[in-house]
Amino acid sequence: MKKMVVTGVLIILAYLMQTTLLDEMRLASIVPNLLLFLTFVSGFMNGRKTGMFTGFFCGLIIDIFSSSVIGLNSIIYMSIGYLNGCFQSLFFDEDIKLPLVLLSVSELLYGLFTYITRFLLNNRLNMFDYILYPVIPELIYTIVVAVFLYRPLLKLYHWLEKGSVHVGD
Amino acid sequence: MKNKDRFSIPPRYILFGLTVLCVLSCVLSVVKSDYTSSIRNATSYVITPLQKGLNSVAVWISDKVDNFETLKEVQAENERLKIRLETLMSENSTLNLDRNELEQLRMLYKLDQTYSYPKVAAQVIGKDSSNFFSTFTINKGQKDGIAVDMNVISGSGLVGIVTAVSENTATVRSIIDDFSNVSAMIAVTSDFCNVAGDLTLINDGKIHVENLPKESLVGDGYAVVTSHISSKYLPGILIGYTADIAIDANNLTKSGYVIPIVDFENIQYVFVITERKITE
Repeated sequence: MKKMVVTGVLIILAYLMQTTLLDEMRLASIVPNLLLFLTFVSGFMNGRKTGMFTGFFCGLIIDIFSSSVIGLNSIIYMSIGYLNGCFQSLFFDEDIKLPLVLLSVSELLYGLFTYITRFLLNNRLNMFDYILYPVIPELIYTIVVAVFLYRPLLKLYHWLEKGSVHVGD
Repeated sequence: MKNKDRFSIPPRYILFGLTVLCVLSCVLSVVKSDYTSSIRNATSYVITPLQKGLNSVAVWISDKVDNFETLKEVQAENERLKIRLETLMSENSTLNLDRNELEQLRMLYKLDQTYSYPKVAAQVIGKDSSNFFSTFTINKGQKDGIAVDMNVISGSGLVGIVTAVSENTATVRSIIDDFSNVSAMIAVTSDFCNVAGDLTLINDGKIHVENLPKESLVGDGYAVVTSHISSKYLPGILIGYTADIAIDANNLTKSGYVIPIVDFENIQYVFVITERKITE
């Protein structure tokens, strides 16, 4: 319950940061994708169900406020949360290599999905141009941010888990 | 805890169910035009005030960062600007004379059609969260008389067009967005053309201009304005200046780039023209 509330707050915070504060820190007009990172961590740490729901709400908030079609972002974020949830058994606190690989794959999946649904279907056939920009730069920027945010976020979730065990007892 | 587990549905069924829900929602938002805006209206009461607050924090921080620009740079710029001011002032006085003459001539011809439109000032409170689209949110909405398809300008240049409105906010698609197409013309030669945004060109600070007639005399540095045959854009709004114009491979048309006059990186205040182009 506590985790759910905190995740909800984190989603709203990540969205607001991405549209306001981070916008001032654009590198080559790219913002890191915090919402995707949040979805990934939530799935990878807590399993398929949690990842799926986190992803769903992350996608939904984007859909509602900055997309013309409601549902598209929800599908891809939800799937990414679910897929990363499947790797929960490989989750170890100390390891940072696997999470970064998984996050990169997630970013690529997200980029490809957005390109296919929004650009390819609108007759933008030069796929590699779009992968070179903005998919790859976004991936790199998100990874860099993730290196710094991954551990604090894990700590937060661990702390919450400890809290909930005490409440349960 | 155990009770919960016994009745829980396997995650893959939930995933399937939610996917179906999303697909339905996608279809709905394509078929029913007011579906998206009604949901956005209902939720914007929570997000918009937060966004406004955080955005002012962001602006404050970027101001502080800008302050770190070395004094030397600023001084050098000051020198440059002083010289510029002098030249502009002398230019201005000649232009003033020209303007008086123009007004008199206009009166003579009864062509009092200057392009001054009613405007509403608005503040940019949020950009698009993804890197794929160049849209942004402004803090004026239906309440302030904003409607879809209204033109948005900043200073003297075209910024974009309103694509969605809610009660208190509106979404603007800028002309550098990949899906933006503006029917334009070259101000001097009156050649019609199409100005299209391109995501892959965003960092170069330019956009495409296409479909210029081959016979057109246009070269680099010509002003491009919105055309009077456009169905959504009001005529005579400056878009930018041409660059690298060349004949296309089909040997029928010319194309090249437009360097927009508006600085899309640091856009903070815009004007929404509350008059819409009436077609038919």
